[in-house]
Amino acid sequence: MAGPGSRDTLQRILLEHYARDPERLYVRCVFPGNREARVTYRTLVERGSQLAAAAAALGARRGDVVIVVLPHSADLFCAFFGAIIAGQVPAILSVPSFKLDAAYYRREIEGLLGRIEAAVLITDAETATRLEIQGDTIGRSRVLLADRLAPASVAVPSPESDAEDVVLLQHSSGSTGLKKGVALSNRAILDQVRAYRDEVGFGEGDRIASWLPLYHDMGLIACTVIPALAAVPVSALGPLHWVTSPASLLKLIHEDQCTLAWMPNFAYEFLATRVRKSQIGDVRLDTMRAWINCSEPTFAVSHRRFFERFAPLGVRAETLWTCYAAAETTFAISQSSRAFPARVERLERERFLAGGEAVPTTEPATPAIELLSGGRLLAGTSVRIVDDAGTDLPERRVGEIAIKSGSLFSGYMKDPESTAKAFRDGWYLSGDLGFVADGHLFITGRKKDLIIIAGRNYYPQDIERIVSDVEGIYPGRVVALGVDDPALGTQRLVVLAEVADAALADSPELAGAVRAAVSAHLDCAIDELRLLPHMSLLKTSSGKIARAPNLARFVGTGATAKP
Amino acid sequence: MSDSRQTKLATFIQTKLSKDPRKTLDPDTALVSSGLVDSLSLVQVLVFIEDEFQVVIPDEAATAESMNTIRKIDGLIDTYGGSG
Repeated sequence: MAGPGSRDTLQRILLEHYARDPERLYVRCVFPGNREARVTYRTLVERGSQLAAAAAALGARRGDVVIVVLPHSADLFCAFFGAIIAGQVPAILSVPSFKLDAAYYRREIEGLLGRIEAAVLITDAETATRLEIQGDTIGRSRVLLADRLAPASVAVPSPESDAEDVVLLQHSSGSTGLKKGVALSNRAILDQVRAYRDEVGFGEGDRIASWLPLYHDMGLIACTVIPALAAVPVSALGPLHWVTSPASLLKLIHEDQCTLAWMPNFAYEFLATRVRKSQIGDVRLDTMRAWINCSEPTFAVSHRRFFERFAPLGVRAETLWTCYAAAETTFAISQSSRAFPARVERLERERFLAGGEAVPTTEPATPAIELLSGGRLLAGTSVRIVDDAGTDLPERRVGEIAIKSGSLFSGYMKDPESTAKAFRDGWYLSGDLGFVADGHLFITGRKKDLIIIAGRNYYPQDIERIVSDVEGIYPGRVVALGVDDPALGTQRLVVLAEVADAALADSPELAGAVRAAVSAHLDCAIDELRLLPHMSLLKTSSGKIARAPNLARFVGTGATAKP
Repeated sequence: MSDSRQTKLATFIQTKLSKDPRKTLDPDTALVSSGLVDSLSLVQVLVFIEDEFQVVIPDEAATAESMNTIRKIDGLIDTYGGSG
């Protein structure tokens, strides 16, 4: 890949790989029951161009958004890259799981398609049936069923896009209704590829193992887009397969001699505690040169448990790296590595929680919290730590992380208001809290409430709205909270809701209805539900129900792991 | 089908995995789609089945949907030749 300032585009680079070595493997998709699909650059470009041509025939022009809702499959990768090569702007959304209320998902996705003026939805027959899509339209968008399109050859488009053209959207957190499409240009993505390649050091012999969904930046950028451009092959499992068979990732690493994997923190705990010896036989993990912990708060204790469990299989301590990333910066902001290992710090608990001061202590008797750094900034990335007024804070003081980098997004799609709010004087305000010490960036929490469970993001207001709508709940008197659970390595979802009628406070039926509603609308499970008499929840002086004080009151102060 | 197997499954899931252990589970109570059981817990059900009934449910058969009720799980154990 040429240096910055070149006329490189994703399209041009993908077509170069295709021209140079069409039979080179891009991704090996592995499915339950030892089935597989191998996608070479030829398949990626030719099948992708066929899907893009079919989308174009339905009205998708250059620059139009194409939404891809497909399960783990070769066509998922082909539809995505085919759109990019054709100059359409693809965005991948999750396939509605069987748990989700289909009518609700349909309304949400129809709203999203309309809002971002998507030309075409690429999905499959099964999903279309579930969503009760009649004919080939949903709202004002057209529908293309990838599995009904028999392979045929079509002309591959020639490169036309420019550095600043938006090439893809990745979606930020939140339910479908609140999702914001993060628009990324050729320039931003290629800047990220160069900076990240230098930090991680992709080379011949590297191979990525992944079970991550593609509707999230870690799965999409680190495990799909960067490898396609850097020509690093990927071995990929579907997320639903991995969840019921975590050992399958380790077998895949062994079989394909993989060297790199990105995972959210909970996966380290999940693998350490849920994989049985009998499931993995003589699997060896010596080939792995980096396990990169990213996308939810990272805990040193999770690394330790993972290391203790898998060291006998060949996992080395120096291969446990960390990364701090955001969809709005394409992907990585900081990274630890073998050359710059993540640092573990024990900080005085009181001063940290009360004053946002990161004061290290070696005194065993001092109450402390332990943090794991997100490594050093990528080349070309700068951060400032700022207070609410935007004033810079010194080292070891916690504030909001503001970011400048060559990988910054172009804006939220069709949402100038949110875009304007995300920046101050050209700096992207991440909403994450952290501090800097000796070149290490530490991430300590979120400025705005965001619940991250097993690497997936949920806005508490989404959960609160859904619970509020359940009959028997007092409307508007609900709080949803994420509580760090060190044993799980992620957050637990706690919901506190007032009931409309005191007799309902102990009602198992109402509890069941609340749990079912959250599962059907957001595909997540409430870990702890409290149904409370009316007027139990604490309000702020301005009359709003505040989350943190209620967390302290009903779940206990010990539960607040974040400042 | 086996009543005692279903009882063992129900007891295990209710006491170890359910988010609401007060709720009694009958053979057709929705487990995952009701939000009572996290899909991340299903792997513990599979381990329990392996130990208790000496059967391994293959990856392609073990999904949140195919394990959404005790009756369905019991059926899987039958299909793959479990004891009990």
